[in-house]
Amino acid sequence: MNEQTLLPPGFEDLNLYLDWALATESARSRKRLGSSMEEMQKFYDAMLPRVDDVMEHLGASALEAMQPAQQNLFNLCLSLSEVSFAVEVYGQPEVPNSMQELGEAERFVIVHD
Amino acid sequence: MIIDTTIGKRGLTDHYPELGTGPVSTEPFYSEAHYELEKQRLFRRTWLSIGRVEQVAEPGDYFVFDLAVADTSILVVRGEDNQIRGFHNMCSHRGNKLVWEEKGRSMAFPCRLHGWTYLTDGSLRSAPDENMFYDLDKTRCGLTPVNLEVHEGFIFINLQPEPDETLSEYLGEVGRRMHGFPFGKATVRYAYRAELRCNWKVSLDAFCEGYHVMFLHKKWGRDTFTTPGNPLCQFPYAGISGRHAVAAVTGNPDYKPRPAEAKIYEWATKLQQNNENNGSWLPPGVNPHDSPEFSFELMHLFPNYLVHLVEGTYFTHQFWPLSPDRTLWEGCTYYEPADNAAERFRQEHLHLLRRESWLEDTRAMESVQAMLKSGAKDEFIFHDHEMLLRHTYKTVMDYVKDNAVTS
Repeated sequence: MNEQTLLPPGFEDLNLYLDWALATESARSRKRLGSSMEEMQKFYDAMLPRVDDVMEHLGASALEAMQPAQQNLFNLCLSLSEVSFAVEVYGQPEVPNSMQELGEAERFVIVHD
Repeated sequence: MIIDTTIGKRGLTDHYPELGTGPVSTEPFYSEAHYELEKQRLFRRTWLSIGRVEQVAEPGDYFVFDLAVADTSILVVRGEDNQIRGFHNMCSHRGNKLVWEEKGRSMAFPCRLHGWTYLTDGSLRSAPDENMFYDLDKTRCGLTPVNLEVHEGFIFINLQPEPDETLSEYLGEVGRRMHGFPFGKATVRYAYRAELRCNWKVSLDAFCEGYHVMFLHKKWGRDTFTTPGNPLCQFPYAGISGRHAVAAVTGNPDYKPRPAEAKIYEWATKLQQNNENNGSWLPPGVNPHDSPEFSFELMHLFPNYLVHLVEGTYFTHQFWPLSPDRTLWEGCTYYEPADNAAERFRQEHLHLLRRESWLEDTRAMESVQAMLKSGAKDEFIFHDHEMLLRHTYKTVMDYVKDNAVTS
């Protein structure tokens, strides 16, 4: 697959983080819990300054009208929201004092996925 | 029904002398015998919310709700005549659970075991090899109906043969308080669910007080929900009406969003559409003094449902007993469908905020339950603003003792 087509033109710098372009909240949450703080900080630092450009590009789009590359880009945004709690609030992947810390994250079922 | 409080000044509970102010027994929170009484005398008598009309929008739409606390499964279906009905999900022939799917659309429900087939009004359409039965009167072989009524789009059932009271009588003043909130606009649902290792009342109580916010949610709750004038998240107003109760929770109008959410909120606001329809969702009685510190009003619809009215959205918690120390909890947030990506981004962040706090709450519920059975403490001590917990306790005990309970 041609890497250039995975994100819309102009966002090639974010290709490095395509493994965060996950379509469901369960997948994004699992990715967060399986990542180190260094990995998340890198993604966060790369993504946060691009939010303005991403929203200029697709913020006004209807969800069903998005092309696959735009969908990938948007899923990176949703992953930014996911990692922001680890990076900005907790300083660790898991919610402190939660069942995630007991290794029981899967008991907390995300029904809407 | 609303009592305005003075933050830091005790006295809310004094408005309801029937609640008392003493400690309450922990025994009903783990006892097998008490649980059996709740099953028989409470959950089989009260109206129970089991869904929304949007789940059965079209004729033939159905969903199945397994109700362990009443040892049954309920089939809710919108009939060809557009009426929503509820039935015990059980075939009349040999008792098989009729519908196994969680939801779907169908005009007929054939039993997997011998093919007896029912229509959306519960009537038996056909039984294979019918002439081999003795005196089979198909008109008497429909599904067993359960009482079903709808209030503000919420579907309730009642398992009494003849309910003591209508749903509207049951919900009383708190039910009327919901009127005017546009529940029907918020059709997109984000739901979390967990089978919790705790009693259903431990779980319910955890969401009915703000006292824990500064401590359990100290990483972020203090910025979001507390203000200099209300550092321990006391209720600015609360009230009890019959078996149900409400309480307002403070928000911090000076909250400074963190970097990521600041961007999210900025873009959602910038690209907001339908500006002409953005009037307040809150009925006039909710946040009656238009306080800028209002975050949401919590409504406890006894026994096991919490509905929270927020500007532009609502969220709910529900607690289904599975055993004395197991509860099926579900927390849901409801939005209007996002008309663009920026709004969808904002909605994602808002329910993740709730998810993070619910992850903290649920573990704490289990850690309470883990200690209860020790018997080392046989009483709970309630704060003035833990009044809703006291009220739930009293209402549960009234049912269990079979005292007359009315709105």
